[in-house]
Amino acid sequence: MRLSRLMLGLALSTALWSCQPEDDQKSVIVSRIKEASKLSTVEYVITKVVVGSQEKKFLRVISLNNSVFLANTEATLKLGVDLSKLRPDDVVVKDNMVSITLPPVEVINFSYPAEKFEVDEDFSQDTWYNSFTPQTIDQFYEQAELDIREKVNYLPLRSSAESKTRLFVEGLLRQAGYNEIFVQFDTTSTDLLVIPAGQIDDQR
Amino acid sequence: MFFKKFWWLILLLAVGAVLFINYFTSYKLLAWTSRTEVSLSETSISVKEINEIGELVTSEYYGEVVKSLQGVYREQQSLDLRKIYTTIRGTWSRLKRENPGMRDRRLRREFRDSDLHKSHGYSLLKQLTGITDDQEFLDYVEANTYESLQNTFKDQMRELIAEQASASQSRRAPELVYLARGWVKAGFDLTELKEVRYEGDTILLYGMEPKILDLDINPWYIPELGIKGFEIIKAENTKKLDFDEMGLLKRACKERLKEDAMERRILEYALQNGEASLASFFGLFNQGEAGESDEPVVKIVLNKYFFDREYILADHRIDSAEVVQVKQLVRTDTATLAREYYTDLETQVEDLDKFIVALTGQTIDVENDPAWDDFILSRYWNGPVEE
Repeated sequence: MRLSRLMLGLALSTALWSCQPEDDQKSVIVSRIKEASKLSTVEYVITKVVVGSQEKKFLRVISLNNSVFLANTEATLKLGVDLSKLRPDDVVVKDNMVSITLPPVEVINFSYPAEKFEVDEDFSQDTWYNSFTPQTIDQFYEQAELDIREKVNYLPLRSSAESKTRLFVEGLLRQAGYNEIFVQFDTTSTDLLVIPAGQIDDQR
Repeated sequence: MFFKKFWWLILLLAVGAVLFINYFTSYKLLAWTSRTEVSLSETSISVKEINEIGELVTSEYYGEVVKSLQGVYREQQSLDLRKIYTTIRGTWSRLKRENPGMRDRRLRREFRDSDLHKSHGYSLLKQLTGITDDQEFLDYVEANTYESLQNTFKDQMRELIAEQASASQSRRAPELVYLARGWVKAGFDLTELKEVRYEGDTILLYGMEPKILDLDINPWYIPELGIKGFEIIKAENTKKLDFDEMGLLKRACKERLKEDAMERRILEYALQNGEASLASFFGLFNQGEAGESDEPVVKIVLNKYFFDREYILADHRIDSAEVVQVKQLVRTDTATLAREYYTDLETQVEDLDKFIVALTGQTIDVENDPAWDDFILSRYWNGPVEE
């Protein structure tokens, strides 16, 4: 009798525990407009071939069928500087000479759009009992995005983005009437290029 | 006795039933016997293009939308009805215009010869209005726009579209619902800057217009937190789904996200923030002795009709309310000079005409409200050229 009460108590407490609200990050995504001041100066178009496979095994050992998925995909990275990080100390003006220290180059936008996913229907093949579900296909693209995010740091993007940004800012300041222009970058932060993610409520 | 004799048949039927349930329903009775292993092969990335740009992002919108595949098809169906209705209206009016002396009976015979009369859409629209007689229906179409048909038969139209949708559902049509999260970024293409003018402390910039620079829903929204860009919240009969349908739904999600951002007036925010952001940038080069910056006033000069054009074209077509809006603009702007934009009425009217031409040009392939065509004809068509 005591044991059954104990069991009932345990079951109830487990049920109550499972009813507690989760700390769900997804519930704090907000639909709103934010101000920004980000200057993109160079755009890199990156391609990646996504090759996925789905193997069906009988009794987890005998291979029954292997379906293959192949898609040519394209991602676009825009690099530049966040002008809102510029402080008055970063600019020195003397007659027609100007020296400016820009914030470090960063990825301003990362786009891996579905409309640039071209499935190669000749190569891709699945069967009715081992077909790809939308969940599996999305899983391939998710893994491919993570792979691009990781590999971007192995491309020499920072140095070329810095030279393009320097040229752009020099052109802008020359138009404003400055003859001697010195543009350098803040090198205190030499982190890897971080691809921006979406936004959740930053008031938390 | 029966079981002993036909045990093999019963076994065969049982195996057949299990196989049928496993492969043709959502109950996977044999799931334990097989295992599906999914893997992604290691492939490299390569840089295809490097482009020099000069974009200033001044406003960002983050949001989420929900879209279903059958919902997208229903929207298309409702657009198809609009297209068919406006085509019937146009064809009937043209027949009457081209044959002024012809009797209705003969006109009707001519119309009946067209494919339009035999189309499924024609009978659907007749069913919707409840008018069985062809002549009465054509009279109704001639006298009413699609919007007034929608208003009069709102409930019937909803029922009809739902009926069509349930007919497709009864064929076990695939259904996929995405909860999609992404962003829209707006700002300026600085390479479009044509002219800079100085008026006292004010810097006037000409040639740049606020625009959507990025519209993205990626596979991941925040990968670090495991928040996906496209999250499947419902998937039914997806064995019949092809890759293009997934793409169609994802494009519809992006379109919806853009509409949401436009409804929240992202371009106006982009303009305000752009002026403020450029003012503070220029202010850095205008510092006083004590290091305090003296910010100039920056004004990005836009065409008077810029926002009208952007918001009217946001849904890629001109509806009846927008026709009224443009007519109102024509009434006021051909008579009164907007001094904050123009110094003479002639240039203002010239820009107004360019705005109307741009609206027409960018909606040439879609069915606008018929009142738009009437308006364009009355304003710009001076009758046939006499030889």
